[in-house]
Amino acid sequence: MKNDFDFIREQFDGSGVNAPENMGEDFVAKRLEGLEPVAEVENKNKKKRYWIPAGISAAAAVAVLTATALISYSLVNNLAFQKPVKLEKAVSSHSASLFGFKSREEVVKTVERVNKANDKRMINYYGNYAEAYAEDGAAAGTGSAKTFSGESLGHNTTYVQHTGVDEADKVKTDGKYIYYMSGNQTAIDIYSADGENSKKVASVSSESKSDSNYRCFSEFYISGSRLVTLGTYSVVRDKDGNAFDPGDDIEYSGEYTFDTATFAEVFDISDIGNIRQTGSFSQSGNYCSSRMIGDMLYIVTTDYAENGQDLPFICAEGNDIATADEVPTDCIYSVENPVSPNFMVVSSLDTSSNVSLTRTKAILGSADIIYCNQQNLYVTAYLYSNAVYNSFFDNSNSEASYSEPESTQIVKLSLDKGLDITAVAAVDGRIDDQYALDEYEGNLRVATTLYLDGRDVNNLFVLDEKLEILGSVTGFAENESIKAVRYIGSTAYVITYEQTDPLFVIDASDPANPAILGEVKISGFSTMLVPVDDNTLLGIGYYTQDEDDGIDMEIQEGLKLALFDVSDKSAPRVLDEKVFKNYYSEVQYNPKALVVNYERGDYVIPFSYNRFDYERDTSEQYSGSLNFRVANGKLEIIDEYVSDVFGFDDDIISGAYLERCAYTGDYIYLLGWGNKGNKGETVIDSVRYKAE
Amino acid sequence: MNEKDLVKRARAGDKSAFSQLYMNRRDSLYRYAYFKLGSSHDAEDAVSACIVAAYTGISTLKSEKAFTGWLFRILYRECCAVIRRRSERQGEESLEERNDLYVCDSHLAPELSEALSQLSAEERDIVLLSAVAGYKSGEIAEMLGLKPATVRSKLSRALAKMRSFLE
Repeated sequence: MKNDFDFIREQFDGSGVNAPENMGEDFVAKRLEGLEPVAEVENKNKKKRYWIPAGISAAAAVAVLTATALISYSLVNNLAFQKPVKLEKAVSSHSASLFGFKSREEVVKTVERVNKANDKRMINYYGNYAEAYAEDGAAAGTGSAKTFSGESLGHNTTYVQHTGVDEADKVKTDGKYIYYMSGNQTAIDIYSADGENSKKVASVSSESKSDSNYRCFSEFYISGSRLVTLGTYSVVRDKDGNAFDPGDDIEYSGEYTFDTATFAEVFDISDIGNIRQTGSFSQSGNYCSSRMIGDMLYIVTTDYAENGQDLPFICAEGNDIATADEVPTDCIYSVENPVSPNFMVVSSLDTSSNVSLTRTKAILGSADIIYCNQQNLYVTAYLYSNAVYNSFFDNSNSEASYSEPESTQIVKLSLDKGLDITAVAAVDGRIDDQYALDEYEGNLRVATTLYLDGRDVNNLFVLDEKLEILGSVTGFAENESIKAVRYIGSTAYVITYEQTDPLFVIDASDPANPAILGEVKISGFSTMLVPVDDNTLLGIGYYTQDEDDGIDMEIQEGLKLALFDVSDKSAPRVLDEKVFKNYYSEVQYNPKALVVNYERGDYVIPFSYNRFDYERDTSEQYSGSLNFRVANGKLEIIDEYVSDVFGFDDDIISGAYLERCAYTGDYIYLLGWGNKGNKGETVIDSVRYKAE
Repeated sequence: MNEKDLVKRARAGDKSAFSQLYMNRRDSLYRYAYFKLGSSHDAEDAVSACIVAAYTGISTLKSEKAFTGWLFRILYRECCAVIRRRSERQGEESLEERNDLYVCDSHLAPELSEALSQLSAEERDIVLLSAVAGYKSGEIAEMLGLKPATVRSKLSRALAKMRSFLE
C-alpha cells in the first residue's frame, strides 16, 4: 500500500489541473514586456540574507537605540516599490491585568466580540465590568542549568530544562525497555533494551474509534510503572454544534466542523505483557505542551472558539464527548487584549492512582511556548503585529500599517496554589523557545527578538514576581535574531545570528541593571547551549556557508559543534569548533534529541548525511549516531556510527528517517521511522558504546 | 541547455531563458496557485504576478540550484497577496480569517478541492507546499514559522485526513 504522501501527491499530479493553453510563452512575453531585472542592491556593510525589508530610515533606528546603541547602521533604500516606514516606539515590557467573568453570558459575549473584531483592542469593552485580578507571586525557583555533576541511572532521561520537572517526549527509556512513538503517531512501540537482540515486545495503540474520531499521540511520559500518554482526537460537530458519537463514521460534506481535543491516558506497565489502561482525561483544544513533577501532570492546550457557544470543556472520563463538562465560568478569565478567540486551557492532574483532575483554568488568550519550574508555570503566546504579518505575506508590495510591535504575552500560574493565576504581562518581541525564559531568585528573565522598523533587534528583560519590569538590556545585535539562550545563575548566555554567531554574555546579577559583559563571534550559529562545567558551554547548531546564500531562505549546510570558554565573562572565547558538512540532526531544532550520558561524561546525537552532486545528479545519503565528549577544552569525537538500517529524511514521509537516540547500559539505540510504504512504523538499531 | 545555464542567462536578462524556466514548471506553479486559491481566475493572476516579480527580482537569487524553491516562495507570497486583496474587497476585518478564506468557484478536480477544504488553512499550506511545490519539512517550517517536527506531524495528519476523505 502506498504511503499517504505518495498517494496525495499522485492525486495532485493526476488531478488534471494544469496551466491553461493561454498561459504559455506568449503569456510570459506579454507580462515581461518592457521589464528588466532590477539591479542587485549591494550593501557595503554586510551581506544581506533576506530580501531587503521594507525601507529603514536611519533616523528611526537611532531613535530606538539611543540608550543602548551598539552599532550604527543604515541600509540602502532605493528599490522603487519600497516605502520608508516611520515607527518610533520604544522597546518595552509591561504587566497587564487579567479579567474574570460574572456569568457564562459574559464569556459568550466576549468570545463573540473577539471573533468579530479579531485584532481590535478590547480594553474599553472590558473596562465596563471586569474586575482586575492579581495576587502575590509565589516563591522563587532554584537554579536551572545542569552539568556533569548529575545522576547515575544507567540510562538516559529526556534532556530537560529544570531538574525534577520532566518534559514529555516521543522517546523514553526506563533502562529495561525503550518506548518510541511511531511516525504516524498512532502507536507507542516498546522494545526490549537488549543491544543487538532488542525486539519489539509490546505496543500501545492510539485506537481511533472511527475516521471522524482520529486519535493520535503527541508525546508521553514514563513515570515509575506508569506510561502517561498525551495526544489529540477529533470532535466532529454538525452545523448546530452537536458532537457526533466518536464511533460513528460520518459521510463528510461541508456541513461539519472539526474540533480538536487533547487526551491524557495512564497505563500500568508493570507487566509489559499485560499493559492496562488505568485512567483517562481530556480537555478541549490542540495539545500545546505539558510538564510532569512527581505524579502531578500539567497540560496546556489551545482551544479555538469558533463561536461564543463553543467554550472550553473537560471530560473526566477520557474522550467520551457525551460526558464533557464546560469549564465553569469562575475558572475562565481573559487577558486584557485577546487578539484572537483562542483559549489557553491549563489543567493539573494527579496521576498517582488513575487520573484525577485537581484544577482547570481557561484563559482567553492563546498559548505557544511554556516554561515551568517546580513552583510556577509560565504560558506564553505570540501576538502578531500587523507589521510582521504583512511582511510575512507580502514582502514586495508592503503597505503595512506599522502600528503595533509584535509582543509576547506571559501568564504566570502558581503550581503551589492550585493553578492560581498570579500575574500577566507582555514583553515586546518574540521568544525563540522555552530556554529563552528562566526564573531565578523570584525574577523571570526573558530574552526576545523584536522586529522593529523593518529589522530585528534583541532584548533581555528582568521581571519581578508580579511580572513588572525591573530592568532590561534592549536593542542589541541589530539585524540578528536570537537562536539560543541559556541562563546559568545570574548570567544569561545569548546566541544571535545573521551571518556570524555572536555569543553574548549578559550579567543580570543586578536585576535592575542587566548589562552585556562580553561577546565572541563565530561563523554558523548554535541553536542550543549546554553547560558542560562552570566555565564551558557547548553550542550545537548549524554550519552555514556565505557564498551559497539562497535568497531570503537561509541555506544551512550542515551541523556544527562549538565550545565556548566563559570563565572570563567579559571576554568569552571560542575554545574549539567542529564542522560536519552536509550533516543534519534533529538536535539542531529540538534539544530533547541530545542524549547525555552522565556516567561516561559524553554526548550522543543522531545525524543524517546528505550530499547531492548536482552536476552528476547523484546523491550520497546515510544516517547514524555521533558520540562525542569535551576533554581538555577540546571537542573529541569518540565514535561515528553509520547505520545500515536508516537512510535519509529526504522526502518527509516516504523516506526512512532516523529521529532519535537513547542509551541504556553499554548500548546506544537509534530510533526512527521505517522505509518506504510502511506508514511510519518504528525501526530500531543499536551500537555498543566505543570503549574510551 | 541545462537548468543551471538557463538560470544564469535569465539572470543576465535573457527573457527567453526565463520563459523556458517558467515553461518547465508552469503546470505545477498553476496547480499550486489553483489549489491554494480555489479559483482559476485568481490562480492566473497569482502566477502572472509571480512571473513579473521573479524576473525583475532575479538578481536577488544567489544560487542557481535554489531557483525552484525561490520561485515557489514568490508564488506563495503572491497567493497570500491575492487572499488579502480578496478579503479586503469582502470587507473582512480579521487578519486571521483572511488566511481562512478558501473558496472554490471552479469545476476542476472537485473532490480534491473538497478534501482540501476539510483542512485548516495552515494544514492546506503545508500539504500544498510539500505535495505540489515539493518543499521539505525544514523549508516549510522556515516559511510558516513552525518547527520541522511540527510540520512533519501536521503534514502526516493532514494527509491522512485527506486520504480518508478521498478513499
